[in-house]
Amino acid sequence: MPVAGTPDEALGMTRAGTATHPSPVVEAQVMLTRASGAYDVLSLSVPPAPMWERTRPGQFLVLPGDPARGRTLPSLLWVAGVSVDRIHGTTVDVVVPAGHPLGAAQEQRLLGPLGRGFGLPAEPVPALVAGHEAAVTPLRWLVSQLRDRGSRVDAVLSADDPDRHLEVGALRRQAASVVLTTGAHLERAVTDRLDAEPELAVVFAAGSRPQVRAVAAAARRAGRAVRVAALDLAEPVLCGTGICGQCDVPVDGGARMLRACLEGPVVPGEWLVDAAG
Amino acid sequence: MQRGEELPRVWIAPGAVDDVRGLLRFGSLDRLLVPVGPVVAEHAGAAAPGPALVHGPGPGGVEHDAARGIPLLEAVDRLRWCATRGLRTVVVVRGQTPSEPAALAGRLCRGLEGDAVGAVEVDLRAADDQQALKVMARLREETPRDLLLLARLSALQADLVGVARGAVAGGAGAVVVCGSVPLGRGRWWSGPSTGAISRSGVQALAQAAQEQRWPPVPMVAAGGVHDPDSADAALAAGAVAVQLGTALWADPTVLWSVAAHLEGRGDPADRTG
Ligand code: FES
Repeated sequence: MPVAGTPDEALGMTRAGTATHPSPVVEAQVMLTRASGAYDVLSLSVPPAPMWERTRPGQFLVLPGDPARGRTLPSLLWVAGVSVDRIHGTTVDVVVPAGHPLGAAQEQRLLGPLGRGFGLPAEPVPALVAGHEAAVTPLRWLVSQLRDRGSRVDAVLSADDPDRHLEVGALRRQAASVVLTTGAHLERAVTDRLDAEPELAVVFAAGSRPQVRAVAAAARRAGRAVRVAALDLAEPVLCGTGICGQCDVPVDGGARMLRACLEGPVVPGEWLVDAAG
Repeated sequence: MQRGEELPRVWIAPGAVDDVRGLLRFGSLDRLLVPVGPVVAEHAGAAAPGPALVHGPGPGGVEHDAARGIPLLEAVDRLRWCATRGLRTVVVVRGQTPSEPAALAGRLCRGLEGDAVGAVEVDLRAADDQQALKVMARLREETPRDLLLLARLSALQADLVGVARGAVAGGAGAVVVCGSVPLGRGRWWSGPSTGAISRSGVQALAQAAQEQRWPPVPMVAAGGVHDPDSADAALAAGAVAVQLGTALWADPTVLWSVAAHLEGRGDPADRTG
């Protein structure tokens, strides 16, 4: 359950400043672990809260570090899906590397969901999703939401090891086409898809910083709208809560830095392209 | 806050916490001093402002560069941001000459948002006793009478007691004893593994105070504090307060759990000097 009030009560203060925000501290129970290639897909049972109904692909959870045991930094996990069921409760899916200690945990304190996720187009529009390895996690969920709204979706997925493609089978059932490639060729494959399918109107991308920048540039060259997750959860030093500054990316032609975990992670891809000049 | 006033039990490390906006989601900062800085003067050829570059994590810590700092204009913006939310700040200043930190602090204290400045901290980890005296004295001249000034010292610096003595003679009302390990080339090792180092510095100063080798002021232990137990250990060594840095990267809510724990421990003045 949310650890409501704990921080504020600690300093004997009112909750005036935070009253409109739900507590982002969640006690989750690990209900199910399912192996999937290089990953484990975990289902977490969380206390029901309105925030879960608003959670979107592109938002993430922070698994706090444990400095007393030498784990100095937290782990960041994409929310892979949320199911709100009045009878069975609220379940949140996450994807972790196979063998991650979270898979063996029974209960886990998490922070989140944090960040700004992918917005869905108001009308059904043909869309291309492009992602690399575990960063495909939010895109997979996005694809089902786009399909539910009647959008046709094509996918370009990259991985540097075939085992690190995330649940391609499930995506194949939903996407009109799925192209598999390697990380180095993601941009090329995106460009090819956009050239071949002129009706694709918008691109959604997630991956490493250079990859999302390259995909954003490709989409822009092709005259398509593009939204990217400007945070790569695979990077080794991240806090996810906006305080360390390691996720900063230059935007607006380099005129300002975007704190991706706080102001994003999902931002218009054009911001990154302009920064690259 | 004024010299002699009771220090908040928990402080936020300025280099580690580059931006406190994210923290507000987890609790209120009303009773803390929000760090603004390190504020640095702009020099030709200096590194672009920004957070410290982290080279990588390891067991018990992270290897990182010193925070590059923020320019004066950015500091004014952040002070304004704090002022509009009723938050008090500790302005952290750094400089390449003895007068530079004082000049920066003076401009911020005299500016429109000067009321939001609750304290000023200056980094003396590379200073000797005479430099410490000079830097603090200039800072004292440029800042409002009785504003709390803190000197950041390294538990590992050669003449820790001498530098502390110089800082207090110059006007420091408290010292922050830092456990980060200098690795050379501007790099540092910080994190939970440095707790024993900051405590050893606090203990050395507490011992020196008993021997009347420096006029004691309250000590803030910075380094390795990551939970109530490690905060207790810092207080047992002689600190009255703790500063949290990379521990907040691991889990920002530790700020409030440690504060709650220390709030329950009674009057820190009983443990001063
Ligand atoms: S990951 Fe630390 S500030 Fe964004």
